[in-house]
Amino acid sequence: MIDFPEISWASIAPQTVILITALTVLAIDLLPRKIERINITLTALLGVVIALIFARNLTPAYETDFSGMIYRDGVSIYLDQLLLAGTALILLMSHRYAQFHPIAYGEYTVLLLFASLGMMTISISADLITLFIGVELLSLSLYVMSGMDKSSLSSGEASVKYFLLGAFSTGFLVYGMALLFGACRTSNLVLIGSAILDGGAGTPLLILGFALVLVGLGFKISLVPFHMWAPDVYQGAPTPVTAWIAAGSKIAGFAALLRIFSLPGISFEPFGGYWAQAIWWLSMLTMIIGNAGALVQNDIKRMLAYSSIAHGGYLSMAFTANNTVGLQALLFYLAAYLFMTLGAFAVVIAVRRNGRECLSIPDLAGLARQHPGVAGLMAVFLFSLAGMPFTAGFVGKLWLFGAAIQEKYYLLAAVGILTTLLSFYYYLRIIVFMYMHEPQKDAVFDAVPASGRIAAGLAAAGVLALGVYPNLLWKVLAAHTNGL
Amino acid sequence: MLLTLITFIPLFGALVILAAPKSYIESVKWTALAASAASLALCIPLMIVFPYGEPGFHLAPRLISWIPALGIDYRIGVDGLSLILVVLTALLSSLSILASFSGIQTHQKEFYFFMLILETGMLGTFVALDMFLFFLFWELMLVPMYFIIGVWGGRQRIYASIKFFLYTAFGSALMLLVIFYLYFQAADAMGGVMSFNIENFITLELDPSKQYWLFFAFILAFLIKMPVFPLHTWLPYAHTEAPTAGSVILAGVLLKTGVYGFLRFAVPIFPAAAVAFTPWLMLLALIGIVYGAMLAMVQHDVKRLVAYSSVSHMGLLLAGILSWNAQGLQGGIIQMINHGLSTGALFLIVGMVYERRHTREIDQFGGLAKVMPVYAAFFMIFMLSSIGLPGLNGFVGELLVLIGLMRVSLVWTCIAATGVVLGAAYMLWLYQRMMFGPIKLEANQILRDITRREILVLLPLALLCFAIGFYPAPLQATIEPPVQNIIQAVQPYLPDASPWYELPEIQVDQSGAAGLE
Amino acid sequence: MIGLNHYLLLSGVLFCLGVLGVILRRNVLIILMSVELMLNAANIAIAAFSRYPLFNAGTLTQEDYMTAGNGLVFVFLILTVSAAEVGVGLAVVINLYRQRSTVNIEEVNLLQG
Repeated sequence: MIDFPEISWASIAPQTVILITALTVLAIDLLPRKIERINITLTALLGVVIALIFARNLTPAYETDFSGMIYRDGVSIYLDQLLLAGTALILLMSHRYAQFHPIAYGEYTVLLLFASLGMMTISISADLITLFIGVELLSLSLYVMSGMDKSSLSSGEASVKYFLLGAFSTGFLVYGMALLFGACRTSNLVLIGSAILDGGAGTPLLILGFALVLVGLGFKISLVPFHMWAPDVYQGAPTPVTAWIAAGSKIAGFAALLRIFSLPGISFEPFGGYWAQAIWWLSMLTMIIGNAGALVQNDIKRMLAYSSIAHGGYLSMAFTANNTVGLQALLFYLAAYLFMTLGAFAVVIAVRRNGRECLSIPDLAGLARQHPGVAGLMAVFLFSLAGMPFTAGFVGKLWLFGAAIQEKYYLLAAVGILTTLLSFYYYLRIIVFMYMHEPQKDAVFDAVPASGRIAAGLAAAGVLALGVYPNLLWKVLAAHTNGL
Repeated sequence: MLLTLITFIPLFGALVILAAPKSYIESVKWTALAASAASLALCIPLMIVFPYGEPGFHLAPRLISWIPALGIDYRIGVDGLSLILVVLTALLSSLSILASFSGIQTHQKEFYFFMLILETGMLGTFVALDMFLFFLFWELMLVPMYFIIGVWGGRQRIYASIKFFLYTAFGSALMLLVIFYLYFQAADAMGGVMSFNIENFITLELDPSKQYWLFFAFILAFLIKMPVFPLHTWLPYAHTEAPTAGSVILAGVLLKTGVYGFLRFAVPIFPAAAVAFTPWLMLLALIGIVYGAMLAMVQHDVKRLVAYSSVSHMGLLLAGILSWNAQGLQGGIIQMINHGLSTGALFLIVGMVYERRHTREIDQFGGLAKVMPVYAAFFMIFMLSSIGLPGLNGFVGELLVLIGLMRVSLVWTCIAATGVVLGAAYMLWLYQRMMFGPIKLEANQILRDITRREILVLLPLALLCFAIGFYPAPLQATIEPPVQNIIQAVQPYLPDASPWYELPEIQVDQSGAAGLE
Repeated sequence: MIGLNHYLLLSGVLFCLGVLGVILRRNVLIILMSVELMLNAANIAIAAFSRYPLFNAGTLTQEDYMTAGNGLVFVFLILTVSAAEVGVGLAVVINLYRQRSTVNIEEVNLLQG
């Protein structure tokens, strides 16, 4: 007789709902009759909303579940909600995008939901195995999605580049995990944590293992020097996919870093010293090179790619600071980053000129004349990305820099602030084109559809609400980071 | 509550405008005027209930904890210094909105939206007593001004707006870094209580060697905004390219925020460093006085001339403050008001003629006094006020500044006085070229004199110029407590021997430098 | 006697070969194979680690069996996932070949900043 371990299904309810939704959409798509796009979108949205409701009603339990495979703490509940909100926004954007691009929409939606499922698997994993499955589920879905626009040569190219570098990084990640397994003789993160607490983190096997994991995840969140793939992939992939790579995949990457480098129950403590130092260098390089790269871009998606790289640098500051303030700042900034990045992409998708996408920055010239509302929203997102007060981006940056200064990393904070200044230039450039230039000859912007307005409007509401009244999230964060 | 209303009524007006449909342009204009006028009207009860002559901050509303996680509070209040600046801001904002009715013809809704946001930003900057709140309002001023210059400005507007933005943002970034440093120092000193209350920062005992670095990084934002030579290069562009209302607000209020921040925060928090840096700052101020005046002499563009005269006047003002005695400080603060009134008015004057002729080249005018007598009269008043003619406001301020300087050093006084003389020269010359002589150009023959609305814009400013000129005592009484406050803060660090114009060596401790890395 | 270190050495060499293959080769298919080499290197390492107690030839405890099971499950899942990865990879490469008629990574250079 086999004893099945006690399982609490409630704690994986959001994940289960997403899985069921994905399978339902897949089944609908297989029906012989042609299904309207709107029905697919609505089904998926319904599933996401139900999952969100489940996620909201979860209570954190600070112990592992499913035989030690998952760990449903406050952080994971928080991240699940973020990811689900992001998925909903992406669905709204994709709906519009698929109207103009030959994308197999049913399969696309299924893959999108699977990618989100992968991200949410990372957020709850308490075991290297679960974590690995999550990373791969997310990556494989995104590889395919970025190549789904069959009419575009660059989409195919983006998927090849993304796949090759992604798989390469997976190799590092898995080998790192293998070494961690060897060093601690378990794949369970909690047990790895206690093994390290007992025996120290200094053995060569552990150091090499963590280093390789860091490299692998560094690729996923495009930390310099592992960022080379990002600009090409961002530029080539269909825009909603780019948005989800930029926002979702980055959040998931940081979730993975959090899971591994702040093992449940023991925080980063054993990794002070050289780990903080290593990530110090990475975030320094990432901030400088990300922002410098963005300065010279003319393609909006490429510019946003470098901007996303740069934001990875700011976010990883939290790992150097390695304190509670840093963790809260990281979680807050992830929310801010999600809303402002998705918002910016939502506007890029919503705005079309003479029936084509506006992908180079000068294409947006004179947007404020014809669509003041959308231009205003874009300005909000750009100011938030740049870190102007009363936007979420400002509060988040402040919190992160504050965490670094608290731990006396003055140079890091100073470089953060100075590179932020640099970033003003390229964000402002878009605003200059939107507001201060005359429209190009014969340029007529198409009407902006409701789905685009809703997506951008919701994201802007998030950005402004978190910017003006960060307490909204602070209470949640305070409660959720208690158990760490 | 009164202060909160004054500060946020414009913001509320801005939101109303944002919600208004595009076709309601007329009502948008009047909403904007009503919102800023309401704010101005509330300044009257503010001036009535304000306890004059008492030190400290007054009329603070109930403290609200805004972001408890970081210890950020909604903490506001006014003393004499902020009171007069709040009133000046409310007045100039209302007038410049009224003046824009004819000047702004495109994107009107957005223009008034940004003007009102800007007003809230400026008012908030003057009333904030929480360092962080101050920073937020300080940054809030930046974005609307950037748009006002960049969208409604002249030919080089984009260059001007980006230059303005980047200069200001650079200063603020360093300021933020220092604020954070102080925040954690204060938290340590207060036993872990996280707060941005400026009282905590002022009571902080900072290591002198560190003070120098912090002070320098901290005041850079203020020096850029003032602006002090050689950080002034954004100003001629921004002032010249901005639309009339933008120039008025820039010259009238935004430059004052720099001085205000210097007096309110930098000096009380870093008194030792403020004194140690005085000779160097004084040097820059004096260079600014002469350099600004010289450049104003050779300008062909009226607006550019007024812009460079601003650099010169702000130098004089700073020199007065840096004398660290009652006369100098009072003179400096009164000059803040004077400069706001007279330079603001001069920009309005220039704007009015620009709207009629669409040029700002001095050569394009001449003999305007014949066709526009009322205009010429107002121009005369403000020109003389800017020069500092006895009986007008400029005289009071300049005299006090020079007396204050005299108590410290004769050489400095002479240099500063040169600026005043040069100021008279370029202003009179400008007036002569534009107003007197024969009317050479056909286009000038048919110019209409200013309308009733335009008179309504200029009249309050002219009356205030006379009022302060004839009876400055109430103004002096209002700013007396803050002036005493500043003197008390720096007194312990001032050298005993007076005059003290030798440049003392700045001691920079190497260990302090290492600590900052 | 072949011990744990030998297995680890083998796995390390394979991993390095995989990395070099990805960096040096220009054919997308070869790169794909090199990536698989990296994953299998990890598999060998995990399998070796999970049998670690056997190499010591002492008495095996309950915990040792747990480790062995854990590791083998890990290996199993990595194998499965790498199979999926190959599937996706080939699809992506075929897509590329249809569009460009090449599998040389250096000729895939439309996207540049």
